[in-house]
This record gives sequence, structure tokens and C-alpha cells, in this order.
Amino acid sequence: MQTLYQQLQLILTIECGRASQLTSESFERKLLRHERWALWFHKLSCWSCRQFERQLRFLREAVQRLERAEQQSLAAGETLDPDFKQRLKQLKP
Amino acid sequence: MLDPDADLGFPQSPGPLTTSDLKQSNDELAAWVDDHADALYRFALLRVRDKHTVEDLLQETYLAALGSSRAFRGDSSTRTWLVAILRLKIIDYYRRTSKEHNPSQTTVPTEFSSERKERLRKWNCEPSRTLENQEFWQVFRNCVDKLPATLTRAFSLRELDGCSPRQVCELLKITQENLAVRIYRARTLLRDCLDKHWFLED
Repeated sequence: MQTLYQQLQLILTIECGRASQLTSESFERKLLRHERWALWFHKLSCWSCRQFERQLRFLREAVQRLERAEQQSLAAGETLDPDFKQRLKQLKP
Repeated sequence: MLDPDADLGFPQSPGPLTTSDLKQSNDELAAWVDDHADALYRFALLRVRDKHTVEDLLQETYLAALGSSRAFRGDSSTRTWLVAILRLKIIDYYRRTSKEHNPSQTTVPTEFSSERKERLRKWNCEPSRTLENQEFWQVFRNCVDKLPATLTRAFSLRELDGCSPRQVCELLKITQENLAVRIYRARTLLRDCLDKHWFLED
């Protein structure tokens, strides 16, 4: 457990590096209260970190759609070696 | 979904095979390969980088499918069923290799390290415009493929398969902190790659 002093310190001194980590972690777990405050205060004044958060959201959405997108446009993806396919067809149970 | 003991409909006690069964299973197998092998290949390649390993996994998948085909009653589509088997094979492979893959975590950053110096560029990324653009997906897939192998596992389990952080940590035998670092690294690399190769041209 962090002391009140440490919590305050985070809120007062957070910079972009730490803020980006917290942004990423906010997708993984519920941030602690002082972490949320620190991030919130930082984003109020930091244009880049607001962009970063938006971009991470976009990335997540893109990753989640990646496989469906590839299924729909078969030609774009890599295909299996034809020889290997033939060998697969010869498998015996 | 990732439970290795999940019941996939494998037969409990397969009866003796007859010649007509064999013939039938050969036709079936050929159809499975023609219809689904490429998709399965891409599915596995996203999660396991090494092509030879992927081929081995595909072979195991089809073998398992053959062994259980007579018990398969078509309650899910063939693709879904094959993907489910392949998924288990991949998880199994992760388990088998987690030791050698993870010896000391020297190749994986154990701490966050990123000072962002420059101002970020704004992405012009309306989903409707970008996510339906085929070229975007090619660039994106290239960026995902460029992620270092040490990050791929954590990233694909968490982001592609939607496992909970706890599940991923158990599977890869890493700590929550280490997972957070890996995911963060993967996200920033992916972000930088897209920034450079896609949004630069906007």
C-alpha cells in the first residue's frame, strides 16, 4: 500500500511516460483511485496523452476485427504451402 | 473457451473402422483441407510465428479431427470446430514451451520504459473509413507480424482471444506486472508502426 505522500507525489509529478503506461493498464485492470486522478489531471493539460488514449482504443478495435477482416478478404492473407496441403490430405487416422 | 479439458466431442470408445468408413473419412479430410486449411494457417500464424511449428500444429489438428469425426454431429460449423481444436493445440504448445520461451526474462523488458518526447500526431481514423479499407488491413497485419516473438503470446492471448489477464499469466507463467509491461510494449510498438506506415500519409 502506498503512503498518502506517494499517492500525492504521483498526482503532482506524473509525466507522459507514466501516463501512457497507466493508460495502457487501464484496459487491463481498474486503476487505483490516485492513479485515476493522476491520469485525469495529466490529460487535462496534455494533448499528446489524450491522443494516445484515443489511439489505443482504435488499436484495440482494429485488433479485435483483424481476423474477421482477413476472413472476408481471403486474397490478402498468406496461404498454406500447396505441397503441405497435399500431405495433410494423406493423413491417416 | 480455453479449457484444455473441454469436451470437443471426441469419441469415448471408437468402434472398429471399416473400409467404407476410411474412404468416407478421406473425402471428408480433403474437403476440410480445401475449405479451411488456409484460414487455420493464418489463425495459427498470428499466434505462433514459426511456420514449421504452425504446420506441425495443423497436422495435429487434422489428426485429432479425423479421430473424432464420427462423433461430430454437426452441432457447430466445421470451421468453428476445427478452430476450437487448433486453439487447444496452440495452448498446449504454449504450455510445452513456456520454460524455454521464458527462461530468464532477459529478452523481455521487465520495466516500463518509454519517454515520449515529441508531440503525437493526430490520427485521422474514423472507423468507417479506415476499418473497411483493405490496404489498411495489410499494413496492420504487417505491423502485428513485426511484433517480437516474446510479446506475441501475451498480446495475442489477451487481445485476440480475449483471455483475462489472470488466465494469460497462468498460462505463460508470468506475473501480472510483467504481463502489463509486455502488453504495453506491444501496444506502443504497434502504435508506432501504424503511425509511421499508415497515418503518415494522411
